[in-house]
Amino acid sequence: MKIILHILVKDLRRQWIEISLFVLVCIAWVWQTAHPSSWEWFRQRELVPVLLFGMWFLVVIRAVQGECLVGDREFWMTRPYRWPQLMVAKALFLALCLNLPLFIAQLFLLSAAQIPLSWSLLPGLLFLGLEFAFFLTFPAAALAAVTQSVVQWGLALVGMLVYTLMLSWLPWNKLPDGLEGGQNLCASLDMALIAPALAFILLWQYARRRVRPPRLVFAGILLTIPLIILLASSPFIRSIAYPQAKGSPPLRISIAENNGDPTRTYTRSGGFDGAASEISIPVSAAPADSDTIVNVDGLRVTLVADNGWRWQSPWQSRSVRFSKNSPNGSLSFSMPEDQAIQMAKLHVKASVELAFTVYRLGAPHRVDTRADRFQLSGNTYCSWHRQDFSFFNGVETRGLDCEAALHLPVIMQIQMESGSGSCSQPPDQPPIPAGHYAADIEYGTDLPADFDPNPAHKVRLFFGSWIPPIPNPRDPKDNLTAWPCRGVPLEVRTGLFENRVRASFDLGFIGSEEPISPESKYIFDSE
Amino acid sequence: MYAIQTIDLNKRFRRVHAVRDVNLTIGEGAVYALMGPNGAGKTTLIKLLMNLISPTKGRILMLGAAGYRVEGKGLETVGYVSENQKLPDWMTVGRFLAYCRPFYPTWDRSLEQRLVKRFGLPLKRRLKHLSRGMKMKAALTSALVFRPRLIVLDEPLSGLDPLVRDDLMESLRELAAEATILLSSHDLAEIESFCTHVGFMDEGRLLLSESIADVRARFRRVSATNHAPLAGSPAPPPAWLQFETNASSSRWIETGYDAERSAAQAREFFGPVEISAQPITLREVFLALARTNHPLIPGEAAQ
Repeated sequence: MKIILHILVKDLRRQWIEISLFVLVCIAWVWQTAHPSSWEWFRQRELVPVLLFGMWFLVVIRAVQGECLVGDREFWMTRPYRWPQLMVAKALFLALCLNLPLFIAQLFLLSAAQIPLSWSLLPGLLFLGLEFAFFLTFPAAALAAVTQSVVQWGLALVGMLVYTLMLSWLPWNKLPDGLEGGQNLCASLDMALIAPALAFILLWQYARRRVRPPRLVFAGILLTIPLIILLASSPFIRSIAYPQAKGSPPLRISIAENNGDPTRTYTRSGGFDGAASEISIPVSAAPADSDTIVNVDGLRVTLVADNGWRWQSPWQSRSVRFSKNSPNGSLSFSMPEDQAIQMAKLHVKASVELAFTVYRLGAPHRVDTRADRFQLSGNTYCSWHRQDFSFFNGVETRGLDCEAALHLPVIMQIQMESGSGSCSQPPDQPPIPAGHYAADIEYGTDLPADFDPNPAHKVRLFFGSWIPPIPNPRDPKDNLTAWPCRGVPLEVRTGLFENRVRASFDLGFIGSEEPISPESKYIFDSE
Repeated sequence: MYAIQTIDLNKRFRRVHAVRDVNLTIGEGAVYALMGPNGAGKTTLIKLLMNLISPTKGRILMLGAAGYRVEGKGLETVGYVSENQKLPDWMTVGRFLAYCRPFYPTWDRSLEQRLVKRFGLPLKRRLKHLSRGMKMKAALTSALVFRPRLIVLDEPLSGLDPLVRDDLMESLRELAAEATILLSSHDLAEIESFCTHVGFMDEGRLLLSESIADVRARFRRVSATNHAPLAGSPAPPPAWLQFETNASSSRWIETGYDAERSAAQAREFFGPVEISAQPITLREVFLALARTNHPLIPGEAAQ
């Protein structure tokens, strides 16, 4: 321990300038984040975060390269250093000089966001510190362990960025879309590969200082990136991320009736000059119960006509949410223009395979919103603010500013009902009749903290239109948007991720024999 | 016990075979001078010994430890200084010595003070502001004050003025009694007065490795006079280096001198002849070996 502290003190002496600069940048960042309006004049607002991370990397590089692990001319290599002691000294130094100032800055930011500081926040803040160590310090230190100077480190980074840029030029759009579940799975797989690889690089360099194997490992990491991207869109990963639903799927789906019209419609847009057409089928999808929210992450459509014509889309990434209260939506997919034109002339039967995420909501609790500031849920707090909404023709109304400490729940549904509480519309609008509701759904994480240096996450609630819709008297084509007002009771439900599954649904016959121009609507047969 | 032993040591840098099949043994208490022209492989060999680079093939035993890795605690008894070592330039001399101190349980504060005084080290000056000679003195001080069992010096005298050299040699002489010293140097005059053993490397091979006394006894400049002119150009025996001849006299460097045997060999080569032999300096041995790239001459292990 004595030697560890001895090396630590030496590094503090050596890097006091960089450490001081980092602390100064931290202070500037806290000030900027806590007082955004006072920085309006400052055009380069992004400069401070860039400086913050730049200084972070610089401190890491200089700390690791203080006892450079590359080459054979460093005096320390022939001194009786024990490599585990050296590693621990460096880790302590980085925790002390980077994580500790950031931790204190985060406490200030939470405090500035009026989030009560309590011990319950500590695990999340420590987790956030670990995330920063893992995602910033760890890779930077591994790269510093195989380079000799800051310049060489920078050149290696530029090389990696160029490589990534070159990868982005590859025709990835020829691949089927990778769905969220598959991407998450591949990201986890990537982490599972990269984390031990980086650990190996650091351990190897401290224990052996032979730079060729770790450099090869670095090259290997870079080579796995395109493989991981390929894997994300592969049927194999999709089938693991979204296994076939067992028994009845947690969703019933049917083509939506068009305002009682027995005919069904779909819309087609785009498709000009050879571009793909976007086909949108309005559907009604009801989860099994009111506690379930289903988020469609992607779909694959199969169309079969009476005359034997058949077309199947590749898997396409889409995001549509269905709940018991909000069962209507549309399933959209891209289709080559010539196929879309052909389809319009045929009686076509559609079936769709959906990949979706299922969330389960917990018990609701009502939130009194009469106070200036109130607790929405857990570590999420809201306060009323004055703001002009041009949507309301310049009439002053009130809105909500919410901040969540560390992270939002996996899913949070906030619902308000018309006619209740003291919510009133601007004077020139008719009062909202009772029997309507509006809901906002926010997504978060089940981890103790989101990867964001600022632990006070701003949440802007947006409730969308009233359900059932209320036509806007000024513009009948439009529906009234629901805005919360002080005093309106909110019903909040938080929930958890339940599973991801894949299921097929038969939508029935769709199609038209009317040859109509591309931008018009197509009429489908009902079954 | 050997302080250093290498077994079939090889090091390749792609196409360059820097160290070839080196079997070096240095006994405890020896002061071993490693000589050789530039690019002979001396520094590579020393880096291999110090575990700064890995051998392509072969084994190294340091201070009786098995395996080729001298590291961590093992370095508490090894002092190493190289002419091109990177020191922590941002430190002052005093801070540098204070920083090194806790790593060595045998650090001798009084020796530190003596060396600082002898070398005239400015304790409050940063290493980056020191001259090359002063830097070398600081490095040497940090490598000697813990009284290492093995001192390895790679070109420690290179570029130093005579005063600094004297200071350094004086300090080494003091420590020679209790340590094994391996040093590579081009400064043959200094080495000759100081070393007990010598090794000569060329093109990665260790061509010679034995005690100074044996080298002095073995290497002689031999002159042969009043012999008959040589018919044609007969090849001299392989043990004769730098052979020169004119009508009735010849001279060469005999690599395995023995008065009777050498005289007999000369008579066999020239016929009736008078020969005389004179000792030569280490410098002359070095030059003779370097110019002829003589194949390995078996010598005794430096013990």
